[in-house]
Amino acid sequence: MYYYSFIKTLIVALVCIGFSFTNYASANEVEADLVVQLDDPHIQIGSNFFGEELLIFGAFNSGDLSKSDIIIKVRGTSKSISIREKVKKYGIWVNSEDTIIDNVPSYYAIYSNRNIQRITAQDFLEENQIGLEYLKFISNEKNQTPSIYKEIIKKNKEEGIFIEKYTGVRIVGDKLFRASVQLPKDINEGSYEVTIYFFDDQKLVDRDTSRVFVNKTLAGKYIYTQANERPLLYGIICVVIAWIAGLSVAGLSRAR
Amino acid sequence: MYIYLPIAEVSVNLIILFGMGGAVGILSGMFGVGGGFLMTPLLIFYGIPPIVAVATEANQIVASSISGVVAHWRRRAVDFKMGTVLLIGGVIGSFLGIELFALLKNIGQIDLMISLAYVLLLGSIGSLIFVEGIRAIINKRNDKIAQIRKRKERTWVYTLPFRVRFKKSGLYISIIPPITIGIFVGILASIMGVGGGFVMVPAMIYLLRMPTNIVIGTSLYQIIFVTSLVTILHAYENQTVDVMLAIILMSGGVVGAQIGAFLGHRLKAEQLRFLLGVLILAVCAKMLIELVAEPQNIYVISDVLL
Repeated sequence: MYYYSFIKTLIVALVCIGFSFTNYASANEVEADLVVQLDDPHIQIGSNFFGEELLIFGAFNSGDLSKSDIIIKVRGTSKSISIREKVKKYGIWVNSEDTIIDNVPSYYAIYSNRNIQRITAQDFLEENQIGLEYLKFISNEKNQTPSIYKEIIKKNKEEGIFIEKYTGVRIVGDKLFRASVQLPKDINEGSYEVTIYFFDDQKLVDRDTSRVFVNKTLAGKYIYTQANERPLLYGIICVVIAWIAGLSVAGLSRAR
Repeated sequence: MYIYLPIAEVSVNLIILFGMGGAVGILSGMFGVGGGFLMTPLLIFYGIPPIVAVATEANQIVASSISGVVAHWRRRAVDFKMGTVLLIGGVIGSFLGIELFALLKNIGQIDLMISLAYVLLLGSIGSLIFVEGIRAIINKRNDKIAQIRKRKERTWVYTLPFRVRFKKSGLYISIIPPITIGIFVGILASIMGVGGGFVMVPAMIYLLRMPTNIVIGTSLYQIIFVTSLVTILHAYENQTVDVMLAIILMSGGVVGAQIGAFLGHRLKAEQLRFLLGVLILAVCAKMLIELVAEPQNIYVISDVLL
């Protein structure tokens, strides 16, 4: 494990050095303002998956380093969730009617080098849904929704599915940045959108969007698809396994 | 050592789950109970979604009942005819139970219903076993022998129509009571993930007046097929059977049952029953507290599956 992360760091360092060279080399040509590299665009959730980190690094072309800022947004696929309030009825806690909320990201992370409110104007953050408070959920019911939205954000934050880390981006030297984005263990499958915004003096200079694919590995995924696509066959196989297990135990105890 | 359960969609500690399967296996080996009514609540306490816990536990019971029935079958202690009549009821009950399950799931009250059913069932069974255990201990001290009811006593059960002869049990009774018992057990199996032996066995002894020595074998025979059906129905209707979890529990259960059978011979029956009663009441209390106490999260959030 340690060995692995060491190799990872080494690769990052080498690539970073590589980047800085290319930047120096092309200093007089037309410059790219932002170059981004994702460490591993394919993430596998195995049977022993308990969290992974996504390494993002790159180079930017800053005029004045003290005014340069980087914001990284990672957003999973959108899903619909149902939320029910518990109410006390006859002395026990009972679920009330549900409210359906759409457009909830299955994962959402904001990493930046400082407080995003100070990086750029609120309008921009709102428009691009940067920051947990600017996430746009959709609901058919109007009343009570702010408190429900707050609750969704709170719960997801506790589970590490929503992350806001204003110290998550490290600026190295005068051109390089790196961040390691935490992906929790109960993450959903799908295509994750990674957007990196580069600001110079509060103004967006460049942005880069790429994708990361999160897959469930063989055993887990196979079982999941079988259970959902061939439920009857899957159920029968489960029962057959139990019969074999039961009969073999009975056989063993007879042998004794 | 963590393992990701594909259907429950949680990462769990393999050793803890194996240990839970083992512990419940020990208990079922010691007390001769299926253990479903302890395993399902334990899985829920551990964080497995209740609907997955129920369906997967039904799958595990298939295995433990098969290994149990073989011994009875060898001793010819199974009334297949009575078992089949109970099974007919069980099949009807399973379908009813699954329908009820789906209905409650759709209106978002299934978790509550599972908890309530457990509190009710564990509370009543636990207190019965507990009181019985205490009484047995006291009786033993006073050197009294517990009175056994006369078997051939005629009750209302014998006045019903559709009478059939059950040779093995030495009975000539209506098939309505066994079918009704079967239906009830089938509903319990599909909603709670239990075999239902703890309901069926007393009903067979006191209501049907079956000979005690063939009661357990016959109920196990019925449970095998009812839980098999319930597993398939849950897999088909709700996709909530986690085969990975089932295999872990089965293997833990096998080891536990062997240890339990060994320990069971060394402890006194009354003490065992008393212990079991205490245990069941403790699980019931924990379940009740979770229903009554102010919940940590006032909102329940779940994914909408399309």
